[in-house]
Amino acid sequence: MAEQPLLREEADERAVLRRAMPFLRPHRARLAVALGVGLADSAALVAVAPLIGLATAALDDGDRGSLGLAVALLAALGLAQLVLARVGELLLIKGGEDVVRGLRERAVENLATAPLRFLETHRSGELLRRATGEVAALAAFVRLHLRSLVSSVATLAFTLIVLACYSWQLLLVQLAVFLPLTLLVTRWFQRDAASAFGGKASAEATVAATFSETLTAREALQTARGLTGWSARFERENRHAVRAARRALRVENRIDLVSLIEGAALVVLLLVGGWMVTRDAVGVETVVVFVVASRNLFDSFADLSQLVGEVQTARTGLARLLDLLSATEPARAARTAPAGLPARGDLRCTAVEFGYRAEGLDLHGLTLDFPRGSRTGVVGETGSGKTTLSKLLCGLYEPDGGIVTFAGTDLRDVPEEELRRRVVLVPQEVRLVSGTVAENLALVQGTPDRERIERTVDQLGLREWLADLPGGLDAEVGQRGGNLSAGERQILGVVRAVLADPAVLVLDEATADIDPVTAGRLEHALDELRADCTLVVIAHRPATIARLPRVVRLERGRLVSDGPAGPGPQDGTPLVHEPQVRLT
Amino acid sequence: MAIAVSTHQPEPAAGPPDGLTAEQLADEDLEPGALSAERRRRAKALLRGSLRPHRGTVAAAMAAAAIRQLALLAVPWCVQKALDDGLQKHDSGALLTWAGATALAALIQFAGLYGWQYWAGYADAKVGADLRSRLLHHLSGLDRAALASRGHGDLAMRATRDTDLVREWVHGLAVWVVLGTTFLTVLPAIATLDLSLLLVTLGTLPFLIWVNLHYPRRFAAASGELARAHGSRADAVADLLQVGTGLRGTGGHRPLVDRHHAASAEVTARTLVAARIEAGWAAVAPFVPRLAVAAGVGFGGLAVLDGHLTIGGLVAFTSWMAIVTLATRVLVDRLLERGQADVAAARIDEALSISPVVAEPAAGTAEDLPVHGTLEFTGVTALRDGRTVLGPVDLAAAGGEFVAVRGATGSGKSTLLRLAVRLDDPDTGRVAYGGTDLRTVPLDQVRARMAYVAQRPVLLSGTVADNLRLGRDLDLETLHQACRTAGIHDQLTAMADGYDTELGEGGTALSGGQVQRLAIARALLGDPAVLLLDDATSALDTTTERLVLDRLRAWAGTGRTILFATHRSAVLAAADRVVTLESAREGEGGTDPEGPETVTGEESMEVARG
Repeated sequence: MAEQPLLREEADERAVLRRAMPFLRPHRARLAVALGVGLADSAALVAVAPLIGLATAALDDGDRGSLGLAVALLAALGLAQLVLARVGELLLIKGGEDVVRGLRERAVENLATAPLRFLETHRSGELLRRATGEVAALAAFVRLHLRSLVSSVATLAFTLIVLACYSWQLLLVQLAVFLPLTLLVTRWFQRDAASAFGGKASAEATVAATFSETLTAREALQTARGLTGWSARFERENRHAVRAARRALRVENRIDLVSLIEGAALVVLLLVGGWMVTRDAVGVETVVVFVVASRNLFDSFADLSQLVGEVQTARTGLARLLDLLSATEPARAARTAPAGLPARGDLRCTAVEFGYRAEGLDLHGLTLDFPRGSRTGVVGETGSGKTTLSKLLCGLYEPDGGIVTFAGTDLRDVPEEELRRRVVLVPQEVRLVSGTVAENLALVQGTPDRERIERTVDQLGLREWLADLPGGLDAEVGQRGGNLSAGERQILGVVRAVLADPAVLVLDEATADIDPVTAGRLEHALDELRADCTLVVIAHRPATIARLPRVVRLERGRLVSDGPAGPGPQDGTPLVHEPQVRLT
Repeated sequence: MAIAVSTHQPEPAAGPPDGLTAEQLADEDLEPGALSAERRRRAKALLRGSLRPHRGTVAAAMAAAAIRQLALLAVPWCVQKALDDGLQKHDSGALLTWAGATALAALIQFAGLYGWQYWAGYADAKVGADLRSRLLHHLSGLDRAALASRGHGDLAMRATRDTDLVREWVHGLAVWVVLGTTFLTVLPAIATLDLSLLLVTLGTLPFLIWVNLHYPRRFAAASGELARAHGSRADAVADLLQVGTGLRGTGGHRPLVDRHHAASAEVTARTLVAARIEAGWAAVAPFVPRLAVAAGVGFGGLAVLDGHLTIGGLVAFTSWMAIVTLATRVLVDRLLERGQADVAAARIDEALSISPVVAEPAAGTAEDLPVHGTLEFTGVTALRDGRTVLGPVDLAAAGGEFVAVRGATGSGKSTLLRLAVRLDDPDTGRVAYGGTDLRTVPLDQVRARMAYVAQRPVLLSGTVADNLRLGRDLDLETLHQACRTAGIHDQLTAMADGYDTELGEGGTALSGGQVQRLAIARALLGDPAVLLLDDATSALDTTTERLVLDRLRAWAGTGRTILFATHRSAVLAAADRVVTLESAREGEGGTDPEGPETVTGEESMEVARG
């Protein structure tokens, strides 16, 4: 098959920010302002300690004026922070949200136009998770953690600078006590955290599973008199859960050691600071500034260590989203409609080959001509390649060999929008979205208005059928069309295709679930509707095939006959028996 | 005895004490205010009761928390002394003393914190385990009718989510001690520094309370809206992925993309609403405490200049102010959440008060079930939701008899069998064995005498042997014997792990026929006098079915009774008698295509063997 980029299980996380740059660029001005305000906010927070130091010095000197100045500045800082914190956070969230919005809308645009084979080769759950849950997680990071990240880093940096200005020796002593020990404790915690918390979660999950299993198997346990023994098993698991919780507690409590280390750092600060004060190396106010500011220092360390996990998660999420974007980036972004591609024309496939897997072909060199206004039936058993052919004819798959042309132009050179004006496929399984019948019928290129929908319904002889639906065009189809039967959904599918008004209409078992009488009427109306519309009809129902002047038969991906509808099934039995299994 | 769980339950589940029905309580997001006084009283009693066995642990957690908080509050005081007496007066002896005191306080603080967290966590884990255990014991013994309207998901949630909420409550008990210690210590301590500082602190409290009441509520509402917006965007993406591929051929995916973008714009709008509240909260919350620090430094500074206060005292004030700010936030959070445990406990209490419909005989009146006898159904009918699903039926099956019961879908075959093992009780008439009404006998005796194989047997996670034993103490040879009779021994030994093969989720999958034979073997293991089979060979091929039927007949011999509900011709042919049940629903009699003589009761018996 053609080279198809696939999503990676573990997306490349290298240079993820640089790769995200094109999405950041449009918002860089706002992001820069947000960052600047955030830095100012952190600076205001850090400035509190020096001001208290100033006040202390003023008290030491008995200087009322300086004290008043310090108090006025403290109050002014409080006011400034009130404004800065609010504006900074809002700007940052706005900017971040705009970036994430750009990413998610781009992802959806790409998914909507990604090659059908790409969508079919990935489980829709995987694509859905990347395009929703992981995007939401990224948005949550922007909303909840981005500001903490900016302010923790800034506060830490500013605090270090301020303290270094007061006394780099005292700062070094502080850091020498605090940093290595804290890192050790954190490492010790992290070493066992995964197994301890994982063990606790899995022990509790086991208890919950057994509980729920007990409810399910209640009667079997009662009638077999097994409740006593079974309860003993539950009790064992329950006790294990308590043990696992205790282990998790012991590991979790290791992190409390940080509070002890902070105490030690404080004691060392007092002793070394006191020694320096006695030697007049620093003033009392320096020690006071350190006492007040070390709180900022410890807190921003703690915040940062908690944010490490969040940042890692966001990084992974961003990498996976970028992976999705690059895998679904339109390969032929610059496809432009060849000038003067006519609205009507012949559809032709020449020596077309296609394979679902890397080795082996499912269609072998098919050459078929569908002249403008012709009507052709395609028959064959399950796996003969009919549905594959229908997708190739509509340009939903690209052939691995050969060429499909409309009015002489390769379908690969026609932008999807132009192509859908000319070639339309109606699959067997018609998908609906929740909403009314009219809303679902409008899901075609050009979004037809109500009047055109009503006219088309009349032309297809479906007015009475529609009137029987509660609400007519305004009938609610329910979640994914659940209020309608498969046959009713197919009727809507055909109406939708006629509304698209294409040059070529490919019907893939599109009337198989409709009752024979309605199906016959509908097929007849389709035939009558427009003489210059080419019809390609894949069907099993003999009555459907019998209506067509030409029948093409496929066997195992090869053309075995092509000609006027032969002797056909006179006895009225189906042409071929096959279970309703979809090829793809 | 595990089944006799509910005889001591004083109140029936019907007619809850407050008019709040079980359905209303099934709403797990019930507001605490919706609980009636009676429900609340019972919920509180449950909470107290679940705490009682672990009061030692909870008390230890509380004591540790109080010690920790005192030590934490002492740190600023020790630092103050070190600054005033040591640094300012250049007194290295005092500095060493107070630095030592700071170290000691830090150490005690850590030890207290460790003990608090450990004991609080341990207590909540133990209370959770107890509650889960009580729920399991109670619910596992209840019958179908008692649990008829209950979803398994909802019941299971009482053992998970609700139990977890109670655990949080237990865990949080020590926090009240911390809060009490904080306010009772800090406010007098600040007062001793300087009265103006106390006034500044007290002045911030109303504001702190307002902030913590005002923002969380608005924020929760905005977050809810945001989550909904994310949800509808996810729906739009799901539509596009699941529906849109089908629409690709019509070009109809474009409107779906537009739908997504509209939902995406809504997400952005909701994000900004939430962000505004959040940014306001983050900016306003620290504002007044900061002003208070400024005011404290001003007033305190004047006091220092006047000689009432020391510089160290001023520094201690800023530390304590930070602790009071934090404590106020926690206090308001606690107050807001305090009703959650009541609702959770009320839901657990409600599940624990569901009474069985199939009940043990009243204490002291229980009779013994004869070892041998005839199984008799006399004028038996059964109702479900007011509709008759069975009967009236009269039927007797003696020891050594193999009776097949057939009838159209809905004629009550399964119900008939269930009555004989008291999974349900008849609404009229009686079921007796050896002349004794089953309802007068302890349930355990009924189930020792009657074995039952359900239409769709359930496998539990565990090995083949676990599934055969179901908690009973049986040796391997006994298992083999039963499996030979059920015609599955050879297949089991052919598996790589034999009887130790893991079954259930993630384990080896057995075929429907293997599950049925395993269930038959499981039933035989209790050495019952009556074997009740509900279409238990429906998934077997005819050869295996014949083999199983032959062995069952040999096993039954002349003493045991087999009652087999089925349509299968091999079973009908193997039976001594075939009884046809007429559909209990009016106007549907005679729908059984196989039974030209569709009649009810004993007189209709048609001898198929002989």
